[in-house]
Amino acid sequence: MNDTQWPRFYVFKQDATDGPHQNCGSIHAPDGEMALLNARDVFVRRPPCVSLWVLPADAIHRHPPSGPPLKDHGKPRPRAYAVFVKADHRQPHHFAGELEADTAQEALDQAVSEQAHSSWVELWVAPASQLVRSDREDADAWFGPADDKPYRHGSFYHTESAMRKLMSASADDEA
Amino acid sequence: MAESTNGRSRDSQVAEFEARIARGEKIEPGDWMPDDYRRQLIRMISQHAHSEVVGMLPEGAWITRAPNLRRKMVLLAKVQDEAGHGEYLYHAAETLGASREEMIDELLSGRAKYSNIFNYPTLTWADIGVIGYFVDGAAILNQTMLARCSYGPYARANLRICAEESFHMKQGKEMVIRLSQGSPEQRAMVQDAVNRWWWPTLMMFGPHDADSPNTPQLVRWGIKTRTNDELRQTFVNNLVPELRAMGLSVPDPDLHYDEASDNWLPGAIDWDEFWRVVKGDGPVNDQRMADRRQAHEDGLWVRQALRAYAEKQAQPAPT
Repeated sequence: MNDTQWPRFYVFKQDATDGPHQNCGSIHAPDGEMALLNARDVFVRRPPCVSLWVLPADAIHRHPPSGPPLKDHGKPRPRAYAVFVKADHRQPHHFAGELEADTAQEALDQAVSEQAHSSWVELWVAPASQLVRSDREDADAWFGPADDKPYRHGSFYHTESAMRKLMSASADDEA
Repeated sequence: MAESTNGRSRDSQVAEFEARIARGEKIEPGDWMPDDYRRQLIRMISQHAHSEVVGMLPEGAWITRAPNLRRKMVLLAKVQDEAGHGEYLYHAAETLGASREEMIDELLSGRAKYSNIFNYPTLTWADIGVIGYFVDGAAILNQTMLARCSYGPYARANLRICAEESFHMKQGKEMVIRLSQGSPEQRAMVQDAVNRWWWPTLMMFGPHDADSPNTPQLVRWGIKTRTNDELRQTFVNNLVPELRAMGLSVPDPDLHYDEASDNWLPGAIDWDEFWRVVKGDGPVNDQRMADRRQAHEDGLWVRQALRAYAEKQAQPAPT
């Protein structure tokens, strides 16, 4: 039954409105809309999250390249590309802004020169139109429910103090 | 000596790779790695992912029978977490070139292994508490170690899993504490659950170090940083004093405190039972796989509908 290999989407999560969108993993889905819903259920069962994006893995052009170059997205014409930077081996890719270019290769070259002043290990560019983003206006409906589930956190359970009480009671018994 | 594509010898690549690990660097998806490192990781990570997925079955069976709304919400949230953990882990395996299709196929066809503990049945409500307390407690010890492993995506997945699982362990421990201080019936029920889950939990850590031929290589490559026996001993040392304080007994007449090593030393583990269950002859192996396949088949129409919707949306709108 070969129906389980849906396209892969990278997921970018923003924890605070003044923070970056950071890659937190990937998800499989038949389309971007479903990918965003799945991403919410997999990566935002707990706060914090204020915004979530998904990006089809096959829309990404990488530098340094890995594997054969991807086909361009239609005829060369000016369009917006989103740029993602992996600053070092300890950090995931984060969104670094958009730029305009005629082709993906041009966008990648431009991103490389824009990032020349900083150190990084990998750059991604992808047509900004390929990103599916959660709506700022829907943020409460999308991410609010994670806030009112305190029982999803270890701090909700007072097992340590209960155990300490039992331990000292049993020590008293033995004494 | 085999020459690699960039002209350097494989031996020097391995030496450089092992030096990176010795320096505490993380290996990332695009980096050079020995084939065997990749193979071992895919095996471990996919088994770990399958365990999260199959692990939903014994607990999911009790969601409708939870004794109150609070316990029901907690159990729902926990089972949902396990599904998410499976997702994190399949993703980590995919970064090594494994495909989701192959991994799911291996699970459903019965070729893949998953944690042996899930081949035991959950007979009473107390089992849900003991699973959280024992099984998740044991899993957290293992995953805390793996959160420091040399492969970046697997380390990060485990870090996220550990942060979320602290609640899994604590909700179970809370239940066991309550039941152990409850009515005679509740105490008997939780003691029975402890008796049934103690030994299978000790087996979760895997064979003794002397019988784990892969361990030294996994330790050298920074995939494991503690051995099966070390982790098992930590678990026993943590649990025995707590169980005694609750007035619960451990089903092991040979268990004793060894002053010289400051350890609680358990009696002999029945490895015949372990291998029998691993090879498919546990109490509910067949039922687990049948349930998993049934769930996959039952989901077929949902997957088909989603695909049809996506295809329709991708077509240009009629004018």
